[in-house]
Amino acid sequence: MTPNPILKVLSVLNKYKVKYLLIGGQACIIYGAAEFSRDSDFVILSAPDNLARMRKALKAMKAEPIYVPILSKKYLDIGHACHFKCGVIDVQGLRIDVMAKLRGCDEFSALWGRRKRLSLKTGGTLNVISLQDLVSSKKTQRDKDWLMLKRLVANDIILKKYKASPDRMKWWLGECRNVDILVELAKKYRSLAKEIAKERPLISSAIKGDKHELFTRLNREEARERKKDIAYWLPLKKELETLRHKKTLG
Amino acid sequence: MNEDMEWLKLAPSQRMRETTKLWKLYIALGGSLDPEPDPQSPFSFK
Repeated sequence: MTPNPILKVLSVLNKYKVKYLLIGGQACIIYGAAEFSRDSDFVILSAPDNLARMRKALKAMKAEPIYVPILSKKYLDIGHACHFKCGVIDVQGLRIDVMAKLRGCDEFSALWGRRKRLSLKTGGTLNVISLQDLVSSKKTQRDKDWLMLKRLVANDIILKKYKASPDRMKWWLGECRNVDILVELAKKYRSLAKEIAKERPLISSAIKGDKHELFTRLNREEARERKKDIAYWLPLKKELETLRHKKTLG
Repeated sequence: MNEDMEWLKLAPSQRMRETTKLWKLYIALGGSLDPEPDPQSPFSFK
């Protein structure tokens, strides 16, 4: 009996040599933003041979499709997610969500190139989306993703005690959503903050130390991203409705 | 050190081990493997 069903799924994906990246809640655990999640989300390469390997892995887990669309390059490449429910012992009932494209993120090959490889003492290597790409993938319409995003960036800054390479500090200034930490960063690294303010104007509020203004501007920034995500999903949801209707009609 | 900091200071592989302990407890208590309800998800469905 595998006590952690996610590790069981990962071992099957490894066994069938699926080119995948662990994303979502499980990736948040790995980066320290969460302690427990039942989510089992993956982004995979949508190449035909990889999809064939994925189908074999799903078959090994007796994973049945539970919604539309079917697992195919056509649907994955336009941003749809494919959903499965496992039937094999150890993972019975676990839902697996598979995507090939994440809004606001690069193509799979770039995500793969930046992945984090995690070796487990129990054997095997996990392929996990990079912290930076995970943060980009969290800019959705969901409250819980914004909470995770905020924690992921803040944790990285706290763990590194506000010191890192210039590129990493630029990333912090570009992505951090914690008012106190942003003001502290802007105070410590004023010239970098001024540079980032050209791309992310709300950093000027951090430079001024105006926490109230910064808070308001962060909320506006989040609202804009949520709108973009809703707009991105609108045609996909319409297509899902059509597919669901066709499936119902038989 | 508070719990959040303790968790944060673990290596990623240690976090996987700790979350596995939580899974053991969760399953022992009869927890379901169904996904967490998420009405805000763009693919939220029954």
